[in-house]
Amino acid sequence: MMPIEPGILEQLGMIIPLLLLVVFASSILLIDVFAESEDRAYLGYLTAFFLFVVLIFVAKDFNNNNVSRQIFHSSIVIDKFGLIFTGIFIIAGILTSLGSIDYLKKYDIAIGEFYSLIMFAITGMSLMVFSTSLMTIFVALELMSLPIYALSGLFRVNNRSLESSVKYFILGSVASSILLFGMVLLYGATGSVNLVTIGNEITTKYTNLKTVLSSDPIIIIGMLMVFIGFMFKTATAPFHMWTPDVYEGAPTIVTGFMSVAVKAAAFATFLRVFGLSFNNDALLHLANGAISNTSWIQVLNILAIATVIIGNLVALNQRNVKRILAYSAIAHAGYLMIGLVGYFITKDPITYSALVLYFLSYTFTGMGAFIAISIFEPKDTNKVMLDDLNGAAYKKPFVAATLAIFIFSFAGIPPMSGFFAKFYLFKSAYVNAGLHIPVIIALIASVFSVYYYLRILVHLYMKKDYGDVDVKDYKTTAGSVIALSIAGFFVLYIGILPDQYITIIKHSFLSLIGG
Amino acid sequence: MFDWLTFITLFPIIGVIILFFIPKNNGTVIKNIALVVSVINFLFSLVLLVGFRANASMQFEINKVWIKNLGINYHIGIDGISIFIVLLTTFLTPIVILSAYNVLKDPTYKDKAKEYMALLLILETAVIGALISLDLILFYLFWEMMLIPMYFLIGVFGGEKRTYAALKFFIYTAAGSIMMLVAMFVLYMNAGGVSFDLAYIISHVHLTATEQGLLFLAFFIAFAVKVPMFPLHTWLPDAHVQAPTGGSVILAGVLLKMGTYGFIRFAIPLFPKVAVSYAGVIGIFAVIGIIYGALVAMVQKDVKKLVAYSSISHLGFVVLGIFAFTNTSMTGAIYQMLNHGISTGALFLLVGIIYERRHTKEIKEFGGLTKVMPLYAVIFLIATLSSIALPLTNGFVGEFLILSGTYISRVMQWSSVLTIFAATGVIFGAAYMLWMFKRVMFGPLTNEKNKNLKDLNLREFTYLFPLIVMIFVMGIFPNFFLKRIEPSVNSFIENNINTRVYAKNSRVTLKLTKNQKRSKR
Repeated sequence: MMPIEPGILEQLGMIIPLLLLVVFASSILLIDVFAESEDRAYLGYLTAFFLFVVLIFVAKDFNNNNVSRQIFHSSIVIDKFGLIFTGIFIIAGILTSLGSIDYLKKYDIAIGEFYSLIMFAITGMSLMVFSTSLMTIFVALELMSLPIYALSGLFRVNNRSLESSVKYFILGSVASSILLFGMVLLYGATGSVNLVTIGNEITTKYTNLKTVLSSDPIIIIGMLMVFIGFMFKTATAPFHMWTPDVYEGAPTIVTGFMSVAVKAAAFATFLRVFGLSFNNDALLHLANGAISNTSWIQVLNILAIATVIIGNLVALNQRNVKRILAYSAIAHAGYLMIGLVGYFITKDPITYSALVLYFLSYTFTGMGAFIAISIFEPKDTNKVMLDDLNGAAYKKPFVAATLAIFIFSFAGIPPMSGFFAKFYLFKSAYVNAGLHIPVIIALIASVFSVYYYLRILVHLYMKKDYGDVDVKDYKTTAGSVIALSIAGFFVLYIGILPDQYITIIKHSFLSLIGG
Repeated sequence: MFDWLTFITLFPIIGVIILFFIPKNNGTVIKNIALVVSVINFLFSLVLLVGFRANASMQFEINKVWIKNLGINYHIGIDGISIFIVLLTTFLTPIVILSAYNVLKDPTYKDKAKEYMALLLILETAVIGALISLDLILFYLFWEMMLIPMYFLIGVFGGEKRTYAALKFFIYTAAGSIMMLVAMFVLYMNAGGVSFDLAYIISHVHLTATEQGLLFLAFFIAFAVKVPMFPLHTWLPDAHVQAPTGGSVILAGVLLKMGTYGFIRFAIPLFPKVAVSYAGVIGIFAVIGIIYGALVAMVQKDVKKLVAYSSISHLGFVVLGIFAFTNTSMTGAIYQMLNHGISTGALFLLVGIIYERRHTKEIKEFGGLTKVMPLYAVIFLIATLSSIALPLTNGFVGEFLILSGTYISRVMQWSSVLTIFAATGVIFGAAYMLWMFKRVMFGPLTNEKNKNLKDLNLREFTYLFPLIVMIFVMGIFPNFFLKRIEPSVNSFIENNINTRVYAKNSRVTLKLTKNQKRSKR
């Protein structure tokens, strides 16, 4: 299965979005160097504009792309699946760069690197979802992670921010090395780094259960290690421990970007790897035999349920808004994990589109919520307690109203997008994949989640004392307002008319399974 | 044909959009716009009444594909069961908006007039939407959407413990609805995974008896929380006491009806056999609710809490009437839903008026109010008498139909005994309402603070007057309403109970028809 590769120029032509991202990221750095003024706000708008240009290219590619094409010696495939996720990352990037303008100004951080790091991270994410080779995946993963490590430590004088950065870097590196080691084992067992070849190898080698057991368990260990590597990035229990501290310490706007884009990238690659390499029934048998009669799916199910429960229960008692959202991010990772398991079981466009729709909704909801929270953050503290929000709604009614929309979307209350995203995800997992118990547990847990989500709104709207926050802290300029309006609009729009998005996403399904 | 239903549902949202662009310190304009929008919507909703033909069919029906990928249709329509509840909603909303003019002068709420009005209008949309939905998910969507405005109405504009009450209200209802959502998944899957349309699912499900029982329970709990039925009622007193007047009126007048309406529209047609076999047990809980609500109301020191507990009692009658499954009792139950909306709505508004003047709702703070507020006392008396079902008021018609229909029910086990116990609820009702009335209105005017209370002003009279008119109209000319409700109820009983439950059992069918003849005589 080696398609004839097009010429080098044509190959480059196909990755124009990626190339543009690199060019724009570098040019932001250059503009920053030669800029005279101390005010860097225009860089935020410029980045958003650049990303929007890339988004147009991605959309154009998506419309024209009918056949997935493997390029660069089958290490990259340009297909609808990758393009749709690239779109999601870029949207997150646009919202981040628009929303960061006020936030960075509040902390007197006038650096252009912020924007170029965001763009480099997006490049890494996009490359990662396009990759069909373990090597490219690893390189792209590092390209994504390194800017994020740097961004978490953006506040160089703030201890929490530094702690967050170092913690994320050390733990992230360990996870990366586990991932890399797993990849090495897979390479050793199958003799290839190409995902499709690995998949074929597994199918031919291990069709019979007995041969698996008698031959090397290396492939199982390799798979497990790759799994762990991705689960770390997606913040799934039991590899979620870093999340609250890192999310709390990182600058709020970076937290938003991390919780949305990085998670989406890791999940998408998860899908890609397991869609291409481990997509056959043989794998299920293989796992059945290897992990003492407990099927692969059941292990994942238990982890998904654990993630949902841990995320939701621990969030109940937090008073720090960023920590609440961090645990809620873990809970959402759990919901997504259930969707992912559902997809592994059915491998059909319905479970797949449910998963991607959830990401789309989560991108707008999550980014919007973090931008709104970053506006309410008291100056120079890098910390938002629930009491800091008291009565803030009456000083910034627009920001608070959009935050309410995002919170209801998180909680899955119609007519916000979070409702249909959750509804479709659970429906497909329940009806199509037959995951009854996990879905029921997740639904019950999401009733608990209503409590901590609403607590944010209670403080925002229902506490009469206005707190001792300086009014000047709540400064908003056009950037945040535009970002919040975009996010709010789409949360409502997807919530009311999700059909066309589902149809578009379903179109991208074939490319994922290698069709 | 012009899609009147959608228009009436979404028209309040237009009002919200207009309000969005008006500066928040422009209180009078905001209030007037909200009032005008809601009055216009009421006038439009009268079109439904004019165009409504008194037969059992679904009318103004629209069925369009909405989300093809999820099997969700935009399927709406009204019949005799829902039309008057829709009208009740459009009727109460302008009244509530007018009643809130004064509350919003309070300095705490002065700048929040816009939010208050917008929330009321969104609530109107959500309630009407839920009442006209004939698709499970469409219904669920509006059902959940009702929570948001009500949550803010209680939480932002409520009394001292408002955050607690708002959260309790939200979590109780959300927990109930999640069960319903799971049940919807199961039904969808069982019906072939094609459509969430109610009629489609009813005709395509094949469930075992156990499955039916569990699913019915899921739907039943979701609706029973909203009614609220004993023992799931504990959120209601908190929500009512903490909610602002307008919130209480809408909560009692319309939101609670969503539970009983849900029984009729969804729970029973989906699982008629279970509904029939558990009718007796549900009847027992309903009667416990009637008596318990009445007894607890009797000992309340707070007028508003008293009215809140009386709601539990009144809704118990409605549930009893529904699950007796006779034409008479079910018609009565639907009629009683409307009565309760009007009389309890009026009572909450009246309590709100003295609360505005005195900032207390304690019964012992008052006494002898007839001397200073004669007009107020008269209207309060009419609402009280309507609430205790005096003949010539609307309450009498509803409770009489329910009790007489339930007594002869052969579907509900122990129905005659239950009716006797339920009837004692009427007596208790008279006792606590009249006792409260006596303590508040009669006796010497001892409290100094009450000596200078002003009687109703023109605005207050304006919004109470339509309710008083309706109390008498519905009490004296019930046929106007009943003849539109009855065909739907008859066909409901015929299709769901007689055909689907007793089709094979001719003996019971025979008894039932005899019954019906008797009840008609």
